[in-house]
Amino acid sequence: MRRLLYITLLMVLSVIPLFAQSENVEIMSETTLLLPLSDGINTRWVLPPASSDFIRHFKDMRLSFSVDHAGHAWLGFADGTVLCPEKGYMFKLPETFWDFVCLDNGVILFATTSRLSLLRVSDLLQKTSSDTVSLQPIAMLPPNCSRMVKGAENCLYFICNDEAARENTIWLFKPQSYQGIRGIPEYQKVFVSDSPINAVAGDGVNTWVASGRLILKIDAQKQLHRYYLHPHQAIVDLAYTKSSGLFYTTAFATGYAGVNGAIELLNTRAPVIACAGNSLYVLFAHSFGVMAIEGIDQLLNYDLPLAGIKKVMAPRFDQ
Amino acid sequence: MRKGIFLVLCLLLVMPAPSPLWAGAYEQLLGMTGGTAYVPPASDPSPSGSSNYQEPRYREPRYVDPAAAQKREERRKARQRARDQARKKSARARKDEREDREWEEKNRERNEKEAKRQIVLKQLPPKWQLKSDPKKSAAAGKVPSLGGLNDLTSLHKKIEAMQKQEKLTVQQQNQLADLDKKMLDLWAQMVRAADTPDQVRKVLRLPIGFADASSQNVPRLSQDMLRNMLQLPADNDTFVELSKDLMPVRNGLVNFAGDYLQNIIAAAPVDIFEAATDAELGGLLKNSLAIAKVTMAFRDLSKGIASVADFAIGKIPMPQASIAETGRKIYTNIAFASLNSFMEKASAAVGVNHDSAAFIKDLKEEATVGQRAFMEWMGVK
Repeated sequence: MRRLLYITLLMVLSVIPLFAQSENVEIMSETTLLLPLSDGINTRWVLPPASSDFIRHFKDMRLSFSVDHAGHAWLGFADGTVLCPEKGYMFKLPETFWDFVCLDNGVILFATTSRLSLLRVSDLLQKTSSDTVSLQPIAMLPPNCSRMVKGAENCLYFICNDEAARENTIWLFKPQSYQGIRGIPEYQKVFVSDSPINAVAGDGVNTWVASGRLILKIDAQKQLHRYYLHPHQAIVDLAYTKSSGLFYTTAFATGYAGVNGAIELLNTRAPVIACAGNSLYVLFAHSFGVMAIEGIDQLLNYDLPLAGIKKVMAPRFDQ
Repeated sequence: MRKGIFLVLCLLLVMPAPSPLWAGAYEQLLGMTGGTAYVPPASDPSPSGSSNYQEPRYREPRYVDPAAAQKREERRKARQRARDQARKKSARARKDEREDREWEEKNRERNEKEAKRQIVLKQLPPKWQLKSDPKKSAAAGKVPSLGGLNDLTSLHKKIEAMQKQEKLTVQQQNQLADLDKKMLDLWAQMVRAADTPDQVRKVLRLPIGFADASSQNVPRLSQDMLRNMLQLPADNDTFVELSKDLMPVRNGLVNFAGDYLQNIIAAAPVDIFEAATDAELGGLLKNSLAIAKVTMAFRDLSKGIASVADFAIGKIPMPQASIAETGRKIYTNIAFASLNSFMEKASAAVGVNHDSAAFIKDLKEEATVGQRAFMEWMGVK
């Protein structure tokens, strides 16, 4: 009987804060959402904002963000720290890396100073290794690379910059579909530009490149096309999925770039994006919170030339 | 009176002594003459013409025997030779002694190194060789005692040597392909093997090359091309008014949900604006708070109105306090697992009590799956 009373009391106590919270909903500042009203499209918090100590420790470090095939968000920091909060992983690598990606086939790759590497975990009982978690070098990277980008269909893109030659290049690595004359996978140079390249995305057949406000498309015939020109801001990142299409970020927004125009889905400060499956994952860099916009394949239905606004329903300012 | 005497005495003591009148006269004289003073020596006081004068004695010439001189010279030379020999002997002895000492030092260093090596060898597996599970890979048993790295290096060298040849015959090309295949397999085995030492792992690498760009017609964006592309009309500027019922939208749905919405609401004509309550907007978005609903009209390729679609503009609520707390725990209560000191300190700092072995096992499984996927990706069996 006494135990039952305790349980009831505990339940009541645990419910009280929920009632209190429902009264005051805290809104994320400087963030606005635009979504088509469709059954499949909605938002979901994947990782709530981190604690202030965590933010203070990592906020000034270079961040790499990737989502694995199971939809788990991975974060990597310049000091070698890697974490996947949903899986409960956090480790610090003995050597630093400047980028990492989780491919859809389960491969997790790291780019160190000049090498492409795999994650390696040695047995606790095995004494041949001094570090439990380390990197296994695989191959040399293309020279002077600054970014490694996950593409669709398990391909990798590298953005490289040869300052001496004043040449910016995009390299593609897609081992299952391209092998050199010797039968060994090779890096392919897919694009060269005199202007700086901010971002790249694609599936190894079609490639999109961002330079300034412009997004270019390189088609299967290696022809260059203007794909989209943002009216206000420079494009800083791109992400592509075969099922949904191309997504971009600027310093203040993230959006869908269709063939007929763009839909800016989220206005927020410095978003970082990644695509996996049918979801677009947005990392809010100031809080390390991660939100997923699900059902992004339906955005293709809205990729039509816009004629205008038919109706607006909203509260008046004076209301 | 006594005081007076005492004062006088004190004054006498304090006052400097008057220099004599002749002080410095000698130096002045020297200065005037410009040289040192010559003082003649004192003359011999002994009287000249003394009575005990002695005549100088006559000395007879001394006779030298040439034979004896020669013998003496020979003896001298013999003594010198003996001294030289003794000197050489002692130098040789010193050299021998030094060499012995150096050899002993080297020998001691060698023994110490050998002792250290034995300590390391005891920590390594009995034979420095691969122990891939033969069940997983049939070729694993064929790997020679490492060896493996040497084989990989020699394969690299052979491949490089063949690549340097300008024209390869069909047979050589097949041979090169075989070598590549062997090298890939050997690399995969060495990476998979749990007992491959770290030093070896660090130098393992696949010879992933770069495709010949000249033969691949790589597209290039020049400054002129970029300028031309930027000068093309903007994507959303060409708005054609289809119906007076529609309100035009510059730049489409870009920056629409931001400040632009406020302008639209403010400027919206009465016939397209409809005031709504929070309750009406409340159910529009599942996990967000809708603040407006906008119906957009789209056109088709023939410029007619093709369809209309509703969009919701909303704000994102922060996760509820309980969820946010869970999130903070997710971030801070992570199973800190690496064995290095950083994580041990971090773990201690947040007071986490975690199952380290379980974590490592879990992460290892993840890494192994990734490694296996990578091998498949690279086409290595």
